[in-house]
Amino acid sequence: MQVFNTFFKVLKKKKTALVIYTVIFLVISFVLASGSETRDQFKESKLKIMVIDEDASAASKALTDLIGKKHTIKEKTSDDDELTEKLYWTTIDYALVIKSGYESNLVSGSTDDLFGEYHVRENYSTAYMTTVLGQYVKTARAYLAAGKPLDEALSATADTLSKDTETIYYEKSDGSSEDYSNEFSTYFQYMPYILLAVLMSVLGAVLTIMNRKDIRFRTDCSCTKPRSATLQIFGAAVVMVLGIWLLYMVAGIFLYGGIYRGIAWLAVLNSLVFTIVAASISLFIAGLGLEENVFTAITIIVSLGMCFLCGIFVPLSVLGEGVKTAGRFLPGYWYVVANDMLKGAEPFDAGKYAGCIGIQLGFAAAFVMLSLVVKKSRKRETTA
Amino acid sequence: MADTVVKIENLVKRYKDLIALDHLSLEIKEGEVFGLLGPNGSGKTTTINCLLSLLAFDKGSIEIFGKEMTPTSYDIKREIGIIMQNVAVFEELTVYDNIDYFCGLYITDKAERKKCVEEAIKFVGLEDFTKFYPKKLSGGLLRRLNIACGIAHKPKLIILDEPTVAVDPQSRNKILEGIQELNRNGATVIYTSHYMEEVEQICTRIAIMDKGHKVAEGTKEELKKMIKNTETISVEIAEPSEEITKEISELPHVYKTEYAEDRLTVWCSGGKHNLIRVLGVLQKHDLHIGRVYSELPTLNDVFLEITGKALRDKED
Repeated sequence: MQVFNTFFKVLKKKKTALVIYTVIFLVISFVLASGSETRDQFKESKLKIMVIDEDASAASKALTDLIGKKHTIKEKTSDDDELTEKLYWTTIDYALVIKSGYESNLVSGSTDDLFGEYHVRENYSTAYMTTVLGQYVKTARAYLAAGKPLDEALSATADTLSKDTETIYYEKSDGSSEDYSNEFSTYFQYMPYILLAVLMSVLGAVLTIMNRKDIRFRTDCSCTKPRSATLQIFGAAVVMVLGIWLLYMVAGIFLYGGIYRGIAWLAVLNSLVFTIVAASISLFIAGLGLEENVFTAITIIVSLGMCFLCGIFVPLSVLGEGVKTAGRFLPGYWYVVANDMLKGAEPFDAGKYAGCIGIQLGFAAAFVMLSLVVKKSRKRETTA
Repeated sequence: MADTVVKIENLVKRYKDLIALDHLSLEIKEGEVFGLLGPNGSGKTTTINCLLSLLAFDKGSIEIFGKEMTPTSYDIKREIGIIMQNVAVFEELTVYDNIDYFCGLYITDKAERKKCVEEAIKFVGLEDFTKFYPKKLSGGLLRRLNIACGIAHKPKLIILDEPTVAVDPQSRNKILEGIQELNRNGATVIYTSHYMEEVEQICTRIAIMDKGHKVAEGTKEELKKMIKNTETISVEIAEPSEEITKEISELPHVYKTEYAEDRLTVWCSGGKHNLIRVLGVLQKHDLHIGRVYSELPTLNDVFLEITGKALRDKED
């Protein structure tokens, strides 16, 4: 077990990176968890909307009332400069103009030009309001088309949209989400970065040292079988990788004060699979036998690059299609897709989850195969 | 008669079109310090790599301790210690842990290993540095650590591949003394180098290699007898006349003269009192004589005469 024991002696000298990354990760996770929005806070987080009602009809008032139930209606202003200033300084998030002729156009079905809007930049508020208004108009038109009089149609629309909201709220409060709370999902959201950074800089560094050409030469000259030396290194790497993963799992429990339950175990499994992926990437890069500074640069590029492309630092929902397409060719993307399902960002589908796990394992297998190819070609170079 | 420790017969190793070893045959007896001398690229390291079964060869056979050497000859490998030109140690381990690691590749019993490691530390004189990391060691101490890592398991055959490259003279002498002590303690040593002085100093038998061939083999005395030159006389004088040069050239045993850089060099083959005769001619013509040197042939002269080129590379 000489090689196995020495692996950990070398690891001991490389632990600084592990400690630094882990401490920073845990501190950031704690801060994010403390400041993360819960569903209750989300309810209280209303948009500040100014409604400029140019139609002043029953229909426009009904819409204004409905908006007022969910958001804060701000006093309107007719001065364009003042409006721009309020939007700029976010005194209001969004200004809605209900155009003259709104009611008649709604009844007649000419819904193309019912509203105007003021906003400083494209953001969640504008996207949200566009969706809500579109939904409102579609629903109202459906009731009108069904033959309901205007007042009844508007009332029914308000009821329907309120029920929809309740339904959504109900869906978000099911057992699965309770088991995988917002805190947990935040912790697991950023885990790929820490796993990549730690495993590449620690495991990768130790493997590079253990397989250094001159060290390996001495080992190969000895009466220790090369296969035994390789197996001892592999065994030590497995112990180390599992140890680091367990450390983060236990830290998760301590940080958030509870043991994982139900669907949270699927997040734990997802993280274990990604740990295997990160280890295989480390194995591959360590096998290239790069200089230390090049190795460090690659570690940073791979870990940060994957995190930005795969929706780890920025949610997938706001990433452009091009970025998402590129992300699909990286294992981190599939980790995030699985995690998003678990935290309820999209409906949970067991088959899709299994697919994400399978794809990640496929990436791990591919990197291991690549490592073997690199090892073989380097051996050929050495003996040539 | 001593047993044969290493027997290499008709070894051929090709790298595509390049023949690195061309029907090389060597026989190394127990207790010898066998020198493999040759310039860079002559095939010394390739020979060692083939010997250790780290490199497959195209033709020939290698026997160590009377058994065929193969990549799986672990019983033979147990008895071999290897010390390479590069210091192959872990920067992350202390001096003690480094020696313990490499010794542990041969000896699994902890108590036995501890004893071996301590003896190796004492042998190379690193007792005061056991807890030091390699980065804190000087070049000479690092070389000693490198040697300790290779000999801690008490091998019967020690292979040293240019262990003194880029080592200061003081450390070099210590290393050479250490090798001789290992030999006195019973180890057979194979020593590769392109430093002829080292090989002359410690090797009991020498094979000179060039372009994958063994060009000569024997003791240093035997090798020197193979060449014409027996003495080289150099005298610092102002340029002598053609008449004087001719007179010296015609002295008995003188076979070549040359004047360059204020120095007259006279090559002699055999005979005695060559120096007195040369100086006699110079004094007769009242020439002012500066420093005078009389040198016996070196292995470089042997190499030069056999291959037509100098043994040592310019950068050395």
